[in-house]
Amino acid sequence: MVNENYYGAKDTWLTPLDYLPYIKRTKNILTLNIPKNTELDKTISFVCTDKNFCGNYVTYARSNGNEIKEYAVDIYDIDNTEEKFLYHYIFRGYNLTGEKGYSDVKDWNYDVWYEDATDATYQNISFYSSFGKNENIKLCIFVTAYSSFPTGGNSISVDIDTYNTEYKNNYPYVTNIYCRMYFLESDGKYRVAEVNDLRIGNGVLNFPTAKKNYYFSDIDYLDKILYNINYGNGAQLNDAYASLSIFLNSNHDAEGDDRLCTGVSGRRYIPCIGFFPQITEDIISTNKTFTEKGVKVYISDPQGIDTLCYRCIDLTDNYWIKNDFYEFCKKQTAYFGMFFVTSVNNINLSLVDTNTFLGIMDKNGITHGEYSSGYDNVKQFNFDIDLIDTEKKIPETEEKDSGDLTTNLNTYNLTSGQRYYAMVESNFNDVIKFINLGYRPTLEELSIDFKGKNPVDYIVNALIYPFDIPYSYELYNVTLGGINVLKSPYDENSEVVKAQYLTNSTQLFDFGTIAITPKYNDFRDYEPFTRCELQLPFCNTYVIDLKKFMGKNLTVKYSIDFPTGSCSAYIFLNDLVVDIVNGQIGYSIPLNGLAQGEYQNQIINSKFRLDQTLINTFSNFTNTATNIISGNVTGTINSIGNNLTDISRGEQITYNLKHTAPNISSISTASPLCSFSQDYRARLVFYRSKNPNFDKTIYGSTVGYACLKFGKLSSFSGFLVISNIKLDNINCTDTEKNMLKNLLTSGVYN
Amino acid sequence: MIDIKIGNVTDDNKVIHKTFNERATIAGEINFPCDILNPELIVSRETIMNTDNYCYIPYFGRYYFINNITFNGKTKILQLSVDVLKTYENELQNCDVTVIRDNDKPTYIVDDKLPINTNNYYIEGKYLPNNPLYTDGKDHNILLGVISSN
Repeated sequence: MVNENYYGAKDTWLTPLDYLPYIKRTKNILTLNIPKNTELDKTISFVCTDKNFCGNYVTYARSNGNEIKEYAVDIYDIDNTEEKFLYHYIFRGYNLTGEKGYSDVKDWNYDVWYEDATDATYQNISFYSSFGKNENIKLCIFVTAYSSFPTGGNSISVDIDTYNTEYKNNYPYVTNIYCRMYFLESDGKYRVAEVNDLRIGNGVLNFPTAKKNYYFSDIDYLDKILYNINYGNGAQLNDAYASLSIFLNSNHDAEGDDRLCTGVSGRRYIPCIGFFPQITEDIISTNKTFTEKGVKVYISDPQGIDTLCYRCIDLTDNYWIKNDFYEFCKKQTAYFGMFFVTSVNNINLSLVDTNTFLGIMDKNGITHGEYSSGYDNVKQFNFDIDLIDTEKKIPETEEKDSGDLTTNLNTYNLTSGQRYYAMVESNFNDVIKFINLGYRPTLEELSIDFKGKNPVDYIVNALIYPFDIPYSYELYNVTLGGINVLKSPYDENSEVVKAQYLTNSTQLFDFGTIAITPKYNDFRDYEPFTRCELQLPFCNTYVIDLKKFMGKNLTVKYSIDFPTGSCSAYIFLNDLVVDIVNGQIGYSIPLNGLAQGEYQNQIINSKFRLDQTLINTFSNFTNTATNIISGNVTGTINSIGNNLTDISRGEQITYNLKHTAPNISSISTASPLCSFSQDYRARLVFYRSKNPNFDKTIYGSTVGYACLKFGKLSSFSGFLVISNIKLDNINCTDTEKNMLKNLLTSGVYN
Repeated sequence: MIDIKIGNVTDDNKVIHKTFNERATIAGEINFPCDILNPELIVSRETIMNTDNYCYIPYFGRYYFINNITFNGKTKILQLSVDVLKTYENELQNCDVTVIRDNDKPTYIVDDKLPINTNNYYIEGKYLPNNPLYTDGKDHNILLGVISSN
């Protein structure tokens, strides 16, 4: 059950498709904009990694809520052709009000703790914060890892560094820690590791080898507290750096690791994640403005190698140590993320709002997130998705999409002239049987113009679909030309075949929206280096013009015309239909022999020429009947054979034709149903040219990447090939000017 | 006699801001007739070292490559050619340029020199998010159209 006090109202949660926050990687720079008119009083950090990409970001706002700063993120791109994986991460930190706090510092109860491996060393994920006075803190930690992340031998342990200080009454307590570890299985789904035993303190959280079948996409599970670590009476956090240390157990020997540092408590650790205030006296002063907070993020891999992902505040080397982030990324198979938000209160520097972010990273290293604000902040924290490209780009105009760019599709219901039954196969077979076995007109009907009473004549078409068509709730008698279709055609008291009506002549089917995003952010995203096609079921393959669609949303909606079985795939560019592809989704069940029925009508109605025509048509009738008999038909044709023998004599022919003129219809089920076995989903397929490995640095410095940039030469550096230069204010000879131009156009180093 | 600031550079010739490792200022005599862009200077044999490959001549106000050193008894003849990039390095910075290649990264301008194997593709597939045509069963999947007035 979602405790809305913790997480904010459920309806404030965004869907995973709302990409918040959205970060864009441009070479080594990731940036994220926050609109300046947002009343911010929060700090956010997050980290995300995969095998080939690591990045993190910190932003913060001053306590007055007006000044906003962003920190760019150091991203190290690994030249790796290995396919990237999806990663999920979340770390949640929050506090509550209204809960009773604890006033005393409690000691560890070491008897309760469980050590996983006696020789395991600890990697510390430290969490520093300045929490509010006497507030209870609950921390939630989620970790994802590859399924190969060794369980049993690896675990997450949670420790709280506590000791008595003179500030012990002023700082919050941790009462509960929730922890969940997800394993990325080979089938691409995440499963939650079971946890048998969780401890707080110097203990170890044991993640056993068995995994339950929870799927990460079941977001509800995030609201379920799987591991409720009741810390008893709580543990008070230290004042100067109220810390929750989280140890990641591993076989990594921290000794000799230059990241190893010593905390105030004397404990040695490698800082993993920290959220800390500036360590000055201002922190605890009520008169000063809280200035900056910082985050460092470390990631551990199953081998226990930790690497600092990000450090936003450069403190003294005693606490924060730089690391070779790039080297670590190559070994990265598991990661730990944190997204923590707090607001800063001038008075007591307390956490008054907390937020969580569930992030999903796609193959392009772009995070998509679901964001929820805390209980006391109904207003959503809206990140403005604005990409800052600090690198020089080719000149672009400010022209944006404008005008009437929305297409509304409607459905249409045909209500007059025809009726459409939505049938199950058994009912349809009843109809066919009724037709095949023949309709016996009454003598009264024979004495009048029989035309128009052949039930087959009233059938417009019969179509079969690979899915359920929209049908009414109620059942109706199936009638053909006012004649009830009977389940037992020769029994006038027989039950009438019933079926539902088709409720909509046309209906829209939405395949959803997908963003067409660049992979390289350069010319390779376009033809002929990248080609894209859209496979449309039952229609055709549609070639996506990447020049049109790049950076935009593609939506596909089908409008199906049920009476005809045709479908039209509407291709949307954002909200505008730019193309329509037609296809056929309903397949006609051929109703052969209608000509025969018409012929029969002519025979029957031609009373004065009846005998003559009978003689002439007998052979035709026989031939036709033979054809029908030899074909694949549903329904019985035995009656036709019987009638043939009966019509050997003219009078009999006349009589039989009059009374038992069968409505010969050959129903063949040999319809082209091959497409029913195809994929029903629309799919984008990208064909991308392979990029061979080559030294990009040498290429850049000797050949140069094609570009088109304008400016003063002083604004460019490195290797340059210049096509045009205006040699103003150079006091040189004409020969020297030509020499300059020749050199610049061949390539120079500025 | 004119002053020659002699020394060397190890930068590529196409570097604009070359680092001129000036070793000494020596005296030299212009070998007339003299082309200011490709002058010849006569200097004492002892004043030139093997590492010297570059010089600056204040009289001409230009930097020069030492293309050749000809031994001529007690003197040496320096054959120079002007280095326009270094000479006008500051003035160049204020010039408007159009850069068509740089060492930054690929852009949206097609780079015909970038080694890309357009004969070999890899394929990426993405389903659109919804599967609206799918129904668990195919129960009412037959449509029968009939003429009717009601």
